Amino acid sequence: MSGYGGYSTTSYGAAGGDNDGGFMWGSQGGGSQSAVKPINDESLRPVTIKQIIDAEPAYAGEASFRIDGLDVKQVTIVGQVRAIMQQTTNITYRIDDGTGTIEVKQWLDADKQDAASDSGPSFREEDYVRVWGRLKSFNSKRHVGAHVIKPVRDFNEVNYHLLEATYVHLFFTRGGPPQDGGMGMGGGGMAGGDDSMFVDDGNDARYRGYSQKAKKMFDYLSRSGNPTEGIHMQVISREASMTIQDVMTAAEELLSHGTIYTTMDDETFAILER
Amino acid sequence: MDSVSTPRISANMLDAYVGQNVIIVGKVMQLRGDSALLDANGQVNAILNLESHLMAGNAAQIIGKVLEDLSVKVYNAKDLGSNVDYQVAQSVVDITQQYKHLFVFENTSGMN
Repeated sequence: MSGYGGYSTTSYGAAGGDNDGGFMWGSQGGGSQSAVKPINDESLRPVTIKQIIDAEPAYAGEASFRIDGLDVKQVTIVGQVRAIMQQTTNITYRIDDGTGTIEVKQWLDADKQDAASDSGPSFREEDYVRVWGRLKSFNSKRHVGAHVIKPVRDFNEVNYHLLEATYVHLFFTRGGPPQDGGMGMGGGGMAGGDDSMFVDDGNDARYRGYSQKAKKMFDYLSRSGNPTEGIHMQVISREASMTIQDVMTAAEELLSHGTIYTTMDDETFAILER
Repeated sequence: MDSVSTPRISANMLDAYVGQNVIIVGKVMQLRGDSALLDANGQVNAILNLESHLMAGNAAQIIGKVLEDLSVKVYNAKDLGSNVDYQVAQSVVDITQQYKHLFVFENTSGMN
């Protein structure tokens, strides 16, 4: 975790103001949608190009990908422009971030020719750019359909992005930092207030990959003896000192993994013993 | 879509990357005509190409091949100005080693 610690304690200057605030991945979504559809699959995820190349196709034939077992559609990457190929319907860029190379296509809108040609010359080959776009597959070749491409003006953003991609990967594969500190203060509070037993309990397979909220809720259900009639979310909220919103998010995650099930109604949960 | 990585490393790791292409970010200590001395957690001798326009005292990113004598034959050099946080750059080098599955395709000898 040393690299991670270094990341969270470093302060960044003006990194372009694009998204240096970071994302609170665990706290997104209202939990009001059905439990089947992941609520965050349109979330913008920072990734390395190697992660895109390694992403598993989620369904055959469809342009849908999974990274760390999660559906990923919108991504942001930062890399150097290796080639610019002007075509009739799009501009294709080859972007290299040191981990791999991928094509990024920016489609030209015939009605907005002027805008397209304005944005064209704002960077050149060998410049670092940040791309926001959507993962696509065409003839089994992956590319990113760019919404926006902007030149990186502060080189620190390149390193920041690589660290952020790692942070998000670790968040999804190992759970976030203890205490819901978000990205800004994150790992700084390693010894922070969350006295959950799961913090150093990473080797129990049951908890692997769950968010802090899900772990917290599971912990509470487990501690309370897991009565067969289940525990209502109001009670969970009060006893585990989580907001209702957080309980619903956590429940959705645990339900989708089949770790808990609903008992008397949709708001009462119990752990599925195996 | 190319599964070829150019790992970010620092000077103290050069001997493990002989014959491979790497990315090094460091501070330009000295410019000596066709070569430059960089500090990147240790010193690197960079053999520059004609297009390199580095500035002494500034940060630079070099992409090149590590030679037997641990100098780097530069394909691409980029002046990064004076506002580069070297600690963050070193953190990236560290996590590249720690989480190789995010950053480095194996079996890429960099012979392209």
